[in-house]
Amino acid sequence: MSESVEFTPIVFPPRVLARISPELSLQRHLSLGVRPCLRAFEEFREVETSDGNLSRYSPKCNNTNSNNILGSNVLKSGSTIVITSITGGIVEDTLSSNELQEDDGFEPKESSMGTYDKSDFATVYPVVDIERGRVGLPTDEEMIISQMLHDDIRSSGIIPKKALEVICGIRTTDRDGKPAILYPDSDDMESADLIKILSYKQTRKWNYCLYAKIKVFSRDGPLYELCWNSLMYALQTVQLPRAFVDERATDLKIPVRTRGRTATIRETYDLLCDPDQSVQLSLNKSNIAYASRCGVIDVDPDVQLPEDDDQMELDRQNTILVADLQGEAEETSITSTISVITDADGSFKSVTLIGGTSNVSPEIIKSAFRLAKKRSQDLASKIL
Amino acid sequence: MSISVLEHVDGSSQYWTPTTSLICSVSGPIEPKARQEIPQHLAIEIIFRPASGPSTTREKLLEERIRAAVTPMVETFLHPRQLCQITFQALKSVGQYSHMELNSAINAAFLALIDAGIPLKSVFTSVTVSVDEDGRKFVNPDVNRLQTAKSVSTVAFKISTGNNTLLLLHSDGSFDESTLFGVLELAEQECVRLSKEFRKLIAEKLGKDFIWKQPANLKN
Repeated sequence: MSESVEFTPIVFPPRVLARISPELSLQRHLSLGVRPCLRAFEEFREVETSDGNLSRYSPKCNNTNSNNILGSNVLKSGSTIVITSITGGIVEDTLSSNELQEDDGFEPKESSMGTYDKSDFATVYPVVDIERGRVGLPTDEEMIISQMLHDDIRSSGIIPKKALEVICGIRTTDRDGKPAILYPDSDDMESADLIKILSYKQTRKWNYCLYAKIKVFSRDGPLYELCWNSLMYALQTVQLPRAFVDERATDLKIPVRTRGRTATIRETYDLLCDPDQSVQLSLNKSNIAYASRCGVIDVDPDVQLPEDDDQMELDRQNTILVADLQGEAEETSITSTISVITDADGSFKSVTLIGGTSNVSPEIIKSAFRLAKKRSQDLASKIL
Repeated sequence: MSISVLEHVDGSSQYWTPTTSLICSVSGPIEPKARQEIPQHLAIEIIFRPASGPSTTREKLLEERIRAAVTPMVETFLHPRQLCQITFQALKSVGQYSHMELNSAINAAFLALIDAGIPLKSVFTSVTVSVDEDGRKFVNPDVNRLQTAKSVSTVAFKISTGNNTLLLLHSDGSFDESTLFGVLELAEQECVRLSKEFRKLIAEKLGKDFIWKQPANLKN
């Protein structure tokens, strides 16, 4: 009568299944209580970090002559390597001289005036470069990470603007024809020199400007947190070279003839960087914070593996928090993410939560924050 | 806010706050370029044009954040192999702080998507909250408040009766956990209030679009 129809299930090896249906593969892994990368749900990847001896101020640096790197970091997490090198420039402030403030020191306005102003903080200008084995225009991801780093460094208030001001020295030649560079803030200064510097009215103001070049090798999952942490470590190693003008240049005035009869006088300064002396970049230490990311995924009951007899049904949650996303399956299938920049005490600098398709409850957010704080504590302990 | 402000697109809206103003247009479902086509679902393209100058990395980041909020709310599986293009043109903005623009863009996108008749899963609204040094919270802050705020958050909620879920949260500055949850609570109330305003606006639009009543000259 009726012919029997035989169904044969298609079976794929795990690697193939992960490729053609990452979501199903991920759900199957989760139902086994493990992630595709074989980590536990709330387990982060180990991070190794060093300054890589790239900076010219690094004690083991091989090349101090033509090296213009002021601070550096090499961060390794899983198979991903992030190399951050910080270089700098000096820009002249556009403020006119009478707007110059007289006060010294590095305290931001926040503590002295009692009002908090975002314009008191500076930022770095990062360029993120993710190596993919081809060259071309920067991808959206690179642009977005760079912009986020730029915005978050400013809003977190880590670099006070004061810390980037150039305290300009003067190079003098004494009677014996020996050149010496004098700085207004050095301790062992003869009184005559001190007066000389104080009487010299500085009419221009310069600021250091920091650039960060971040190179990423073997990308394996979301990168923003790795880049942020690497940049944080690198910023803490930054040494700014001292800068000076030559004595003869301090009162040099050059007449500039403009169209018509009027002639204006412009001072020119040849600002030079000291090859030997440098100062540590003074960061707002209390604002240093580290980033971590968690994903939130709903467990799909339809694709759960049948339970074995010996498997206990204890912690079968419907929504799982997954720390430190890794791999293509997790990155594409987990649409709900919580990215937190915090220090160990729970002083947050940035929180980006994307609701995605899962219902992110306050409980989930709280446990993500708890993980982020722990992670931040661990990362802070890795400072060299 | 207003709706159906442009004529040659499927849907459009204008949304303004004291600090920002922008126009949103939605075209879709339309034929995508070959590289944009996704076999299973609708592709969503988001373009943000700044108030002045060409777009930069800042706009790329804004687009990414708008996409994170809007994409999960669109019923993408109803239109496979099609494209929905959402374009924003900022008319007024406040320089480097993109919070208010993000907030306005999410709200404008919702209105324009409704106007275009793109199927949505739920109502979604967004609000920006700033917290100053004394812990006072301000909804949709002005430029000075943004400048002096200890932290600023932009929050988008998916609104459905009795079960509002968090769609997007973007906070920066310096803040602690209790502040953040306080902001979320306030933002949820504001989002619900805003969704009621949207409802009124959409009702007005429908009233204008369709002639529900029989025209007077056809009576009898």
